[in-house]
Amino acid sequence: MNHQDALQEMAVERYLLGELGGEALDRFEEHLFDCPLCVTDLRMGTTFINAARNELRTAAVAAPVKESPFGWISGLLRPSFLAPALAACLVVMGVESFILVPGMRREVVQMETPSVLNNLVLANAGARGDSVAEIVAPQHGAFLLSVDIPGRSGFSGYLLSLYSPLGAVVWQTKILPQQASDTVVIHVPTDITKEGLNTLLVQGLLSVQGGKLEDLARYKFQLNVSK
Amino acid sequence: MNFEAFDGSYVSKLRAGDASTEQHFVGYFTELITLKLRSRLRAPEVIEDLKQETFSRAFALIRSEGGVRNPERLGPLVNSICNNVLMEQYRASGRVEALDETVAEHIVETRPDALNIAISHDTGNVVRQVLSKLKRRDRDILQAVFLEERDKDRVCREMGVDREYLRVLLHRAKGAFRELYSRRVGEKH
Repeated sequence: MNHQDALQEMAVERYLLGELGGEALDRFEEHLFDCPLCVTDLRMGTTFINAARNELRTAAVAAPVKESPFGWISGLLRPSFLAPALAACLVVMGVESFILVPGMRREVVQMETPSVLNNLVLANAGARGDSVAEIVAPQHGAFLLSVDIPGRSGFSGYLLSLYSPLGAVVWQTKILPQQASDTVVIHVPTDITKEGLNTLLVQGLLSVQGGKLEDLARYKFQLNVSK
Repeated sequence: MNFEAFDGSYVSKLRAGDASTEQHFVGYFTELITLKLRSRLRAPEVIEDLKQETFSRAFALIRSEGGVRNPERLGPLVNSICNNVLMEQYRASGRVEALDETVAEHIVETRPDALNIAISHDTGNVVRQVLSKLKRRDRDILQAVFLEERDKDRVCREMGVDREYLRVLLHRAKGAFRELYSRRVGEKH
């Protein structure tokens, strides 16, 4: 491979996207170590990806912009807003009558009907970061997480927090030591989080030090949503 | 240090223990070796060990009499040393061949480390500019692939694009970043 080949094949992009394997990977790396131009291009790529990841993560949790408390009223009274707003109301009423309400009725029926859910046991998987467990859950459905709380004394309770792939806390609960003596099973509606690498953080509530938390275990798992 | 290519003078300085040349050598190859190892191994401590071993053997060879017969090929020599270190690791761990493509997907490290932890203010500003000029869908694609680390084929299916689109998107974003970044660095100097 020479530099022109690397450009034509978009080898740097393929490398960054993890699309090269086996002989193609060896061939590209043989060239990369000998090509300062590709090295510079690759460096730009890794810098961009790492910085973009930071930026996208920050944007995902940024607070909404505050608006003036009264300025919105005059905006609402404009004909250019009112006419489409009324049309939208009609659409919403139609959607509610013909789609949402029947849908909600189906959900109630589903909740009242026994069903088998996929269960992911988080006892050791992902705790050391050397492997990631996976679970498939239906969209608008649910899945189960079974977790063993590390047995240590001195905690008045435990805090379980579920982090979405974006790093946002999507669910949190406290459990008593008595509940933690056995495997804790958590029913998770798929829609509260997103497909991707989720994390369940288990923290102990320190009774002596007035409510401080101590990280006990961090379980990563890959959620795949089936539609 | 003004670097254009490896040559006899560069290797001589390395053999003589010139500090700035050694610093450049380590700086130049650290990222390459790390990416190479990361495409094949998972455990960070093993990656770090093999990286150190690669450098250790490279320096030993450079400093030995007649060790580097072709200074212009210093890069492929380092690559070759790293390959040998990897093969020994595979043999030691009982693995016959390299891991498949699923491991290569983790080339760009997601955990903070020395390579990615120092995102400067300027870099952040430049990236923000690049991202703001992208279509919403393209930003969503980059987020899904690089931040959420979702399966790329699935992301492409959901977004209605193919892998070639993803490659071109990365190529254009990287190119825009490079242009703005070079301009910003040029303005400062």
